[in-house]
Parts: sequence; structure tokens; C-alpha cells
Amino acid sequence: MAKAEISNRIRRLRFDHDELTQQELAGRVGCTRQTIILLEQGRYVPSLALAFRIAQTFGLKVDEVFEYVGD
Amino acid sequence: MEFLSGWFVPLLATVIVFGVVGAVLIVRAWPQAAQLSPEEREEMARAPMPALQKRAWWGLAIGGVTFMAITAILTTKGAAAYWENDDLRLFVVAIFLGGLFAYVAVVLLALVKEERDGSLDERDQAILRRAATAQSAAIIIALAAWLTALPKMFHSEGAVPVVYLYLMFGSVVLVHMIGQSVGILLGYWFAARHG
Repeated sequence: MAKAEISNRIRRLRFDHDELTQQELAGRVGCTRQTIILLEQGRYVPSLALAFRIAQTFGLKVDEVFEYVGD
Repeated sequence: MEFLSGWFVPLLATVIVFGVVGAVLIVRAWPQAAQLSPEEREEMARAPMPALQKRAWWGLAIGGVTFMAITAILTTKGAAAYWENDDLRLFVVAIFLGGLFAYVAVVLLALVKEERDGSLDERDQAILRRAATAQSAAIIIALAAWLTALPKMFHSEGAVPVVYLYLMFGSVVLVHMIGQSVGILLGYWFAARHG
């Protein structure tokens, strides 16, 4: 799959939140560590539900975590 | 080459056309999938194996061993011996049911674990849905192989022995089992390289 049209700040936000590990974040939002890795690499576009759960985990709005970079 | 008459030629032509179209579609789609960089691949490789992938490896192992054991018995003893010898038939059926129950047990245990831990996420579910395509293709190919081989084997007799109905059914069940596992593993293999 080509790079997704949605970029995100998940890796940065993990470090800003007491260096949360990928596994811990995966456990909190209900997905696998592989999914978190691919999200951070920009190789996977999450569903709206997962995007909201990730944003809520960091106490942010969805558009503060994810950004649409396509045309 | 008497079997090359009647319905056999259209069937063979259809299989070839579908095969060529499928191959062209795969080749056209492949370059669009960007590769993960070596660092990205390494990061993926360090992650623990998802529960669905583990289940698929178990399914492939159980299905593969069952399929190979039954195939080995039938090729050495012959389909006629299987049909006429009650002990042999019971033995083969026991292997088949043993493999089937082991597979169902693995799937049920995995489903309970996935439900309890929430270990089946949306990406896993997408891979599982796509695996159904591989499963359907495997079943169609298995049936096409039977329908190609049986008329060729028994064309001169004008009838196919009843035992082959049971063997067709058994093989389709095993291919169904193996096809899903292969589809899931291909999904993870692709994701580990292309995201």
C-alpha cells in the first residue's frame, strides 16, 4: 500500500505522554501493535472509530492528531 | 484425445481465460504497492504475531497434515481399496474428522480469546475478509481440478465411481480450511512488506 493521504502525530504524542509504548497505546485503543506501527509509518488509514479512540487517549481532537494531506 | 470434445473445451477455455485475467490483474496491481523501507520492515518484524496470524498457522498445520495424510493413504492404497475396505475407510474418516475437530477447536478457542482480549482489530478483520477471496478461489480451483481429472480418468467407462463424490466433498472441506489460513497468512505477508 502506498503512503496514506492522512498523516498523524502519534509517534510524537506517545513520547510527549510519558513515552507511552506502542504496545501500551495499542492496548488502550483496542488494536494490535502492528496497526500502531503502520499508523506511525503512515502506511495505514484508521477507521473513524479508531481515530477518535486514539485522539481521546491523548486528550485531543481528531484533527489535532490526524491531518489530511491529499488533494 | 476423445475427452477434448463436448463440454471439456469450453470449460478448459474458461479456466484459462480466468487464469490469464487474474494474472494480468495481479501484475497490474503489484507495482502500485510501495515497499516498506528496511527500517519499517524491521519495526514490523519486532512486533508480536497477531492472534489471527497464529490461528492461521495452526489452521494451515492441521489442514496440511490432514490433507497430506489422507492423500498419502489414497495414493498408496487406491480409491477402490478405500471404498471396498471398511477398516481403511474408517481409518481415513477418523483422520478427516480428527483434523476437522482439531481445526474447529483451534478456531473456537481463538474466537473466545479474541472476544475476551479484543485482540482482533480492524486491520485483522480486513485481512480476514480478504482471505475469503483466497478461500473461494481455492475451492473453485479444487472443483475445477476434480471436474477436469475425473472425465479424463473415466471417459471410456462412461460413469464416475460413487466413491469420488465423497472424496470431492472431503477435499473441498480441507481446501476450505487450508484456503482461509493461506489467505490470512498472505494478507499478513503482504502487510509486512507493503503496509
